[in-house]
Amino acid sequence: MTSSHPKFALITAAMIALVTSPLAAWSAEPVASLHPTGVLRLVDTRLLPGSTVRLTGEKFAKGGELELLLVGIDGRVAIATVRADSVGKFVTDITLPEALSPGSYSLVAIASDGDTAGRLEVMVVAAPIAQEPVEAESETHDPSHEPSADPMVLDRATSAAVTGGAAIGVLLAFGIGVFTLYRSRTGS
Amino acid sequence: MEDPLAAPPDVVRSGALEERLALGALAYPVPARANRLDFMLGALTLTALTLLAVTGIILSQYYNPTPVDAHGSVRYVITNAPLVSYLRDVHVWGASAAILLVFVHLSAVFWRRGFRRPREGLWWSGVLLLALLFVLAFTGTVLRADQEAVEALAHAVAGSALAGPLGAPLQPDFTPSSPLITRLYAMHISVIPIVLVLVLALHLWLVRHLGVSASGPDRALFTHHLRPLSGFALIVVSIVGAVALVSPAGLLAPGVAGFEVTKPLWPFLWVYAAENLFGMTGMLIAPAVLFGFLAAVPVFDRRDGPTATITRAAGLALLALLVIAIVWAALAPAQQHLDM
Repeated sequence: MTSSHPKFALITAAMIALVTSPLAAWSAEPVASLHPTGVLRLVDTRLLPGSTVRLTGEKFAKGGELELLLVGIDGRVAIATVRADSVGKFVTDITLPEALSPGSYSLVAIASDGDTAGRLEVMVVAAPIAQEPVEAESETHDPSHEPSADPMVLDRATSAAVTGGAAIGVLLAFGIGVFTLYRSRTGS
Repeated sequence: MEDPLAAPPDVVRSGALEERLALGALAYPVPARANRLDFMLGALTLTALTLLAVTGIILSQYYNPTPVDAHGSVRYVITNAPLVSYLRDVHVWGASAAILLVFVHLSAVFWRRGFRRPREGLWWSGVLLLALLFVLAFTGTVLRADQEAVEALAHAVAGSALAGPLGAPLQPDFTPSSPLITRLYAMHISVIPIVLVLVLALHLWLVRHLGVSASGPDRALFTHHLRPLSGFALIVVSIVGAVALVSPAGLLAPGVAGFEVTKPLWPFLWVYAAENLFGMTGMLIAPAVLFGFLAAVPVFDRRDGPTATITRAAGLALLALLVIAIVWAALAPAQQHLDM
């Protein structure tokens, strides 16, 4: 018993050191900060294809480069690249592509490490927003301004092999199922 | 001298595979009456769940669980990967099949009073499995990040706000390090399935050792029960596959917050109907009524008598109300709830 005391003390001290040293190292180093969550602002979040609008940003990484993208119905569309100033702000004019489809998009700022640093929901509209005399036909509500409960009309990928294989698989499964049921009934 | 490492005498040795996998242990007696379809509904639900798991694992390789790219990844699958797109259709219709089958299974067990002693635990584990299925269906809907998903999430966030601290994890600002859709994805593919498998293991253990609630003296081997079960299972899989072929699952446009123009998936329409009538609190009241009743069934219906009759009548009425609510909500125009 007395000869085990030094060994026990040594093992206990080693275990304490093993547990506390990472804790000490972790507390000594500054905690790595998360990506700053930037704020993007537009005067009007309803945008026209081909138009130029002023975009302001703040609370981004100081001096960091940001890639601006529109993500939505047309996939990811590159808009511009900007650099935040020494206090994490920027002001820039962005021009939207002419061929942009109407619908809802996310205007996203991607930092140099690939993370999303800021995001703003926008709507790309088909009709002009400018103040023009309202005619009788235009008094009807333009549905492209609001979301719809109808499924998107997508160009679905099709493959004869997949469709044919699935059909054969379905028929086989059904046939084997019925046959198995028939055999279990007649066999019992 | 007896070999202590030899297999137990009840294991039937009838082939190399059967011997090494102890498949002979499946040849235990079950009531012969259990060889009917109404006693196989639980296993058919498990078949649908297995289909969901297999297709879900494949889909997880193509899905991007970030707010910006979630919708785009689903759209990519539909427009660029025909096989994965078909598996997505099977996954969506398989979910509907699983929920339909579990309700039919629950109704059958309720009707034949398969919750009475000693099967109360079996019933309660089944009710928990039903709740987990609903959570899986909800989280799966949200992952699409389309208009229906955004509205479903908005309802859940509003409902979780009513639930106080219990609803904190469903709040978008729960943590700045991970967006809500990413956390719900983690729930959908890991947390809920793990809990479901554990509860299912308990459920199957109790089925095996308490026996199915089928009456009659005649007995048959479980291996004989597996034959018609396999047939029905293949038919279920073929029906899901066929429906997925002729009616592919759609995708709405990327969701825009602040609008309510869609209705939820059909298993949630009864909750939608409750919201139409009672506002946002209806979203909490309706599930509380349903699951509260289901949990109380073994407590009230212990033996034949007036209480048992009333419980059965209440269950039938609740089922009828559920179906009526679903049909009504499907036909009624879409309503705003978040401001109610």
